[in-house]
Amino acid sequence: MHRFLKNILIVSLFIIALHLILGALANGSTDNFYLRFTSSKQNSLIIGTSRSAQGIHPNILDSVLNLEENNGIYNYSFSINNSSYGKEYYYAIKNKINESAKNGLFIITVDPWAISSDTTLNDNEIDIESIFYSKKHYNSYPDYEYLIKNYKKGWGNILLKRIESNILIRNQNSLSKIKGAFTYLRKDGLLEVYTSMDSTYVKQNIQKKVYNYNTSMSSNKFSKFRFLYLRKTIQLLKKHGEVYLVRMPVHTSLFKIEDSFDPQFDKRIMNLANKTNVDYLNFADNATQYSYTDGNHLYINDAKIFSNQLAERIKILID
Amino acid sequence: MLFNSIDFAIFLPIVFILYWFLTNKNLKLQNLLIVVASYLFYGWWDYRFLLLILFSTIVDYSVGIGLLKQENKTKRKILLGTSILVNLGFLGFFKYYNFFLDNFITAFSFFGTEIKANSLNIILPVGISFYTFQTLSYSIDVYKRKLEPTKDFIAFSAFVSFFPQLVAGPIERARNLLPQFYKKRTFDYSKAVDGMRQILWGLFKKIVIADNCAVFADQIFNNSHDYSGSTLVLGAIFFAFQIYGDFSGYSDIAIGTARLFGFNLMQNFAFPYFSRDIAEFWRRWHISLSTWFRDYLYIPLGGSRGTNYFKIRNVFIIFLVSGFWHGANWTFIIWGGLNALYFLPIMLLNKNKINTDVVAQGKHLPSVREVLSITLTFSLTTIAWIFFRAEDIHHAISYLSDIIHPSILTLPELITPKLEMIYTILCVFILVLFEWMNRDKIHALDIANYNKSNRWVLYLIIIIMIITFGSFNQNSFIYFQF
Repeated sequence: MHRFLKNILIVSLFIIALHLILGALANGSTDNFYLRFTSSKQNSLIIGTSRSAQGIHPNILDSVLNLEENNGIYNYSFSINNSSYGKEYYYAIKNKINESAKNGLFIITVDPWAISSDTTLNDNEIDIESIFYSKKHYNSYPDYEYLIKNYKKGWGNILLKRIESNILIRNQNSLSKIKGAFTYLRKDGLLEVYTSMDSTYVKQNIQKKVYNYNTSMSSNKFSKFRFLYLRKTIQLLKKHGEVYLVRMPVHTSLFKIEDSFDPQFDKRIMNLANKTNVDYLNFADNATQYSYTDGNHLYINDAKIFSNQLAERIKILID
Repeated sequence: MLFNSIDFAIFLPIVFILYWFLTNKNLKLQNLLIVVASYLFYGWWDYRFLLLILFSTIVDYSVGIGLLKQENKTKRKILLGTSILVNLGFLGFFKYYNFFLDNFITAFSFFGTEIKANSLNIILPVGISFYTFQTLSYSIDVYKRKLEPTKDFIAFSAFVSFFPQLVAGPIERARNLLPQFYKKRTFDYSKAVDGMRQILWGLFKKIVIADNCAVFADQIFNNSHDYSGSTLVLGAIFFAFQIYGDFSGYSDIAIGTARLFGFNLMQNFAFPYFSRDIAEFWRRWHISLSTWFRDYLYIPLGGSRGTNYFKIRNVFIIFLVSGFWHGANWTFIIWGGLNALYFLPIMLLNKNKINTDVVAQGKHLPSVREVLSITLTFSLTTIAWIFFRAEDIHHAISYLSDIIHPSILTLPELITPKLEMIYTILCVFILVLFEWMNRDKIHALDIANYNKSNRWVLYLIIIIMIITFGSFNQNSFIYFQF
């Protein structure tokens, strides 16, 4: 028995040690969210779903608005399933802000889906699938708690992904031909998404998104609860600096769906902006200026253009 | 509780320590620990259905005691009937109620009569088909006087609820498992090590093979109209390995876990994809269920004795019932029927017992003839799996008709994530290779005869493969739903 237990103990310790090492190797290639949990507390944040996660380049805002001297702005946007406005995301943002920050810049992106919820769920249930649900620790590296709860592959895959991303990033040409997507999370929180921009392929992706959003229309509704937490988020961030509400551009076919899903959306946000005394920058009308990977997300190069335009608009307001 | 979960990784060592260090001096206490641990294991999923197991246990225990005292034939039949009624009643209600109701309504509407009936929102208790068949085997064996009924309620409860095989088998015969609860178990190092090896191989099959194949099988089956004929063939092959990895992986973990506690469970899979004909396949696939049906249904019906009519009838009955056992859906019944059709010609030509040995025994490679017969058997099985996996019969037929298309001659498309698809195919090759090398053993990692360093290198390779390629989504096992 002792021999058996000794051998089991040796194997178990080996497996644990291996996991500790592999966990420490996790980086931006690991998944689309991990690094955002391991970065330090921030003075300025970009808040929202995958649209802003992929569509707003922090480094461009830093350079146009001279944010580097205040440690720069960090993209803390996730995805519609995780970072729609609500209790969970609110506390995650609270955990990310430097308590002493006073002159921060906060961009809160809004769209009808981020303040809607599933018609069958009550307010206590809407975020139980969120990545923040029951998350206890923030801002530590490596974040084993995150990896244990959320990384659904063997941790050896962390190493494999690092190797794969190194090879792909070196061969930039291959990145533009990828069917599906290659993603890499930058240290500033921006999610780089590389995918084929072949027109037929993009058209198919847009059609899929249109289908998905049409389906979502019937199963979702405007959520007072989420809207309340959007207001709370604004109030929280206002204590730490300037807040801007931003509606990002999407492909016209998706905009039409959004518009019929929540025709009162712009009015609602305008009222909120007035009541909370923040600016609302609506880019929805500029939709045709940009290319989208799937209609919902700006292509990486167009995201740079958009980020620049956003920064210039904010600069005018600041000046 | 799932075998591939952290919960189980904590649960198992605790029970192991309590079993061998705290309760090892008292057999009753040790059996009681098994009962408590098994109820905890099952209740982790849904504690409400523990009452079902408890009720089934009490009924079959009482029937056994009743049969012990009763000599009157009619009364003995009534006692057996009670056990069958209770067990099949539970199964019928939880598993088949809505199926029969829906088909009843459809049949009447076909003749122009509209019937309004509400189907019930019934949750299927995990593993109900497994433990009801196990307890039924006890009652039938006691009735037939092949087994002495037990007076030890704790041992009987442990037999019914034994956690390693409670939810997905192997479906143990009372004659094999129950007596093991009467004897004191002693820790056997080589048995425990072999159990751990079998657990390791089972985890590899589930986490690396089944759960990765599932990603691509699901993608292809769920969007079958979008893919070429050759990709659909690949999708069916992915599913063939998914279900094999999933179910035989579960059995390996179950058998290995039981060995850690000093129990021997029956072999449930014997490298079925190396079978040279369908009869051999069914001797090697889900052995505990096939032999259950053979012993308690096929042989009582007359088996392969009698006229060709009876032979054909019996084969169809056993395969259709087996299909229906898997689920309340016509796809499973067609799957069973298809296997019966495959089996019939071999049986009628009296060639169903020609391949009873290990394929290419004593050789490294099979002969061309063996390769061809293995390929044919695998192909037939995979075609049948399409019905097993499809959402409904219409889906299965459209899947098959989409395969029969000129695009079957093109190269299959790479499904995103492509690199993971390539890893998965590579892992399947490793599985096939390793199982081929050890096809004459009880399980593929039965490597006690290897030298120590080779054994440890192999353990290391498998552990690293699980850690690198494994999917830790804690996907449930397919057979839990049955």
